[in-house]
Amino acid sequence: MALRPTVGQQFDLTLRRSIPVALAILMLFLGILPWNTHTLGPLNANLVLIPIYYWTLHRPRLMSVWSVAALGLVGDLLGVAPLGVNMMTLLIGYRVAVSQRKLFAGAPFLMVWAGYMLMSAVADFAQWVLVSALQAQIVDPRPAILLYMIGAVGYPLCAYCFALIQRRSLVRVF
Amino acid sequence: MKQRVGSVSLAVAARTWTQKFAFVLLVMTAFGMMLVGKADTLVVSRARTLLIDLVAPIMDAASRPIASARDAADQVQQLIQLKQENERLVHENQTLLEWQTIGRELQSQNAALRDMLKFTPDARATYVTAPVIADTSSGYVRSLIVLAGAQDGVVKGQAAITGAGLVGRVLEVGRRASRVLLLTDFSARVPVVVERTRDQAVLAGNNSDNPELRYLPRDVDIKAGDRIVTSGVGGNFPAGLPVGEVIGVVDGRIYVQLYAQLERMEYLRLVNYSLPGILMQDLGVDTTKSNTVASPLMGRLPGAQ
Repeated sequence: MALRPTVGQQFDLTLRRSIPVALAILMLFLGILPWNTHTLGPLNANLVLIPIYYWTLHRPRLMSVWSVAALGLVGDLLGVAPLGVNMMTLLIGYRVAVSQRKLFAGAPFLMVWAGYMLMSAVADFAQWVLVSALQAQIVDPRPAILLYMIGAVGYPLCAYCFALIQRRSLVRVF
Repeated sequence: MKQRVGSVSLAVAARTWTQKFAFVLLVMTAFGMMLVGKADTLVVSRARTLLIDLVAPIMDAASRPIASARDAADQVQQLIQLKQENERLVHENQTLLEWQTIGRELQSQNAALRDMLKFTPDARATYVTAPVIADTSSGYVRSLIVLAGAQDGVVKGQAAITGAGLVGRVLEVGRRASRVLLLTDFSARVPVVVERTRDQAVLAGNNSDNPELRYLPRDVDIKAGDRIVTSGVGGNFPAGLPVGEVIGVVDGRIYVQLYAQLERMEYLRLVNYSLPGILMQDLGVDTTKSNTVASPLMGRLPGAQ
């Protein structure tokens, strides 16, 4: 007969299950802290795409489409870009990650990294198209390309940190 | 056993279908939000101010270690450059003393001329100094969140300045935090004037660190180093606020380097000049009625009481 988990164990499990979304929220807020990086361009490089991609590959049940949409909405309200654009961008990125999951889960890191760059490129391109359409003119894509590159370079470090957290706290949590 | 396998595969299929349905539903929601955002900006603005009010204390706490680290790095840098800095300051002091003499002469001359014209001095501006707690810029927008809101007297449309010059204007005001749209933002437009030639233009943000001068007259004589100041047209900002200087012309486009160092904005001053500008008209304020505080622009208009 299987033992029923205690309230404490259930609470612990819930906390552990919320780690991926909590990390995504953390990345969202880290991206808007006043780092004073204007010479480089703003740091808010859709950093939240990194945890979405990582956890969709490694713990898909802990990064649901609802969480992704909620993250997008919060990002939309924190910024001044047209409402809905961030949400749509993250949903498109999420959809690309889901479609790649079988291909990249368990693949060598370089391949996973390339997968992130592909997913981020699709999401960022979609964002550029949406912003241009909503502003009824072709906006300069260069700042967005810079931000895409920051995200691409930042992925290995973030993925390393997430892997550590996964090994320590999410070994038996699915 | 077969029945168990069948029910599991059914559950997986149901979950997959639900996920796909949720995805489509959420994509449609995002589209709907884009339409709502276009149609009803007031609702969106209220939702945004509510959220920035909620996150302001967290962002304030989170941004303090960054500010401390930056201060420490600045102090180390200053110590390293102390000798050079001293030489520079001695030279600057000599120049400033010369300017002080000229300034005193002009001050007395100005006082005499004002007396002759019965000139009414400008109303004193009031200001709030607020720390920058979030940089909500992205590839397509340039904005900041500061820790001062309606409870501190911040009003939509106020000028945001640093000691060096104009930075932007207050876009949204929450109870305890506000959003500042930077001059570099794609949608930012400020009427300016080239100080040397007095040619009027509009400073237009382009999401880069160097906004452009637009709507200048043809064959205008603009040189690198020309000072750009606000013109006061539109009534949002008073005339003469320093903005930046021309850095060059590329493909017929004139770019401006702002005086305010965007990479070093820890605090902003939100200044209320009590101007009856078009931004106040956006808010539904009747700007035709006289304000309790005298408007500096009205004092300058010929025939104004």
